[in-house]
Amino acid sequence: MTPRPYFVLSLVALSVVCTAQRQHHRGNSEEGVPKALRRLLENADHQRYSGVRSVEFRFGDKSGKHDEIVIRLGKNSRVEFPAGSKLAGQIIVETEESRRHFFPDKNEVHILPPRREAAMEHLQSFVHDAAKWKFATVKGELIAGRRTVQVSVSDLQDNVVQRLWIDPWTGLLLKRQLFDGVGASAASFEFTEINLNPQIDDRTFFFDPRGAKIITPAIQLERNAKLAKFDVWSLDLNSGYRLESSRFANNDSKPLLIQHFVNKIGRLTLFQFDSAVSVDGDIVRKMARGDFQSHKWTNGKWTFVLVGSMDKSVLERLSRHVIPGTGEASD
Amino acid sequence: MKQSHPENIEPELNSTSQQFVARVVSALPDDQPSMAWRSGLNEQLLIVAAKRRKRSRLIAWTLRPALGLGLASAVMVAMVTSRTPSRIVSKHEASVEGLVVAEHQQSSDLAQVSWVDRSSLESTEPSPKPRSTVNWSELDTESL
Repeated sequence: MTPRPYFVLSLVALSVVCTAQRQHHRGNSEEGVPKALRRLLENADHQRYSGVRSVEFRFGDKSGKHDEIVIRLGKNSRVEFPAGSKLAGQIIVETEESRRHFFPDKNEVHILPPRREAAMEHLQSFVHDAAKWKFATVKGELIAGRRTVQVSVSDLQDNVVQRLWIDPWTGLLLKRQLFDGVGASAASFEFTEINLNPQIDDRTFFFDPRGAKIITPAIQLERNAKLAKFDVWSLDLNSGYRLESSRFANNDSKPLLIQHFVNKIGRLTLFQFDSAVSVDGDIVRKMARGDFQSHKWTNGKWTFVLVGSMDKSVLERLSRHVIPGTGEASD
Repeated sequence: MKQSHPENIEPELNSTSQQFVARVVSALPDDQPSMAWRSGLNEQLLIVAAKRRKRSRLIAWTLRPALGLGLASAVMVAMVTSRTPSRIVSKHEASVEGLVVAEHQQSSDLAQVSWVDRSSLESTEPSPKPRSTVNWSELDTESL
């Protein structure tokens, strides 16, 4: 054989190996995601159930707990709270477009972005960026009387980030536990009762409390800004994000206004201080274990910090959408 | 010792013993001084001087640049540290970064497990005063 056929044969062999390797990698990223987790995501918008779930979470050294009575049909949900709960009487009805939260004590309905997508956001990111995560599946315990598969999601350093207890037949997420950077439980929910064949009335997701005052996130922001004696600044709608909630707080006796924004792919938090504040982006990134970053800027006496799970350059670009006012008029 | 007057020296110098000593000294061979040792010494000095020059050149080529480099580095370090002073994160600064991280993380966590958000939880118990993010009151946790 002359050298030329050798060369051609080598090229062909190399291309075959490369193609096989690429398919192998693609196959691995799909195979790495547990079947139960894939089923959960596939069926997320088609679930039908009613049940009671116990929610626990931690803010710093304080923890909270409450029960939610949930009725779910596809993308629609209705949540109430049992008698005796501090939240008793409140009703949350979520549809594909919005989440409406009724506060009977104030006779107010707060119109909020849907929460369903936020709840699924992280789970979808596990699948989309499967190479960044390690999955382990074991037989789970009975949750609300149903058999489960427990899926643990860890980062590449083997820190468990979440544990999911999934009904392998329906793909229903019956228990979810989130962990902080040192492995302590940060938040969780667990169904204590579940009915997979409930009678759901047509009017279950109808929501029209007569006489109740409608409060949008923008109105709530204006309220909070007035209370804090802050000028109102917010992200405009062209940013692609919707204001979800706002509140003001004190940090070392320095008041600050906090706004949370959401869209289909993530969350943003905007901090507004009424004076010069030093915020080291590197420290923020390290404290967040690289999960999110921050961008700080000033405008007059105001210091702003925007935090999100995207590149710093994206945060810088989004910061240009922070304008005076509630941002609602820019659409 | 007895001191003699100069007028008494001449007779003494002409004495037999003195004449004998003078003859003996005159009879001594007149040696020519040899410069060979001096030449050898010069050669030794040249060799030693060459070694010293070589060593000096070695020092000039290695130690001096190293010394210069070290000095330059020291100056550079001094300049850099004077321009950007070592960052001492004060308690307040750390708390701001801690606040930023905790607030974003907690809102994200809560959104994954509940339909209720934090501001809604707070608004169930409205307070006339701003509440601390870091130090939640008992009222806050009770409302959960």
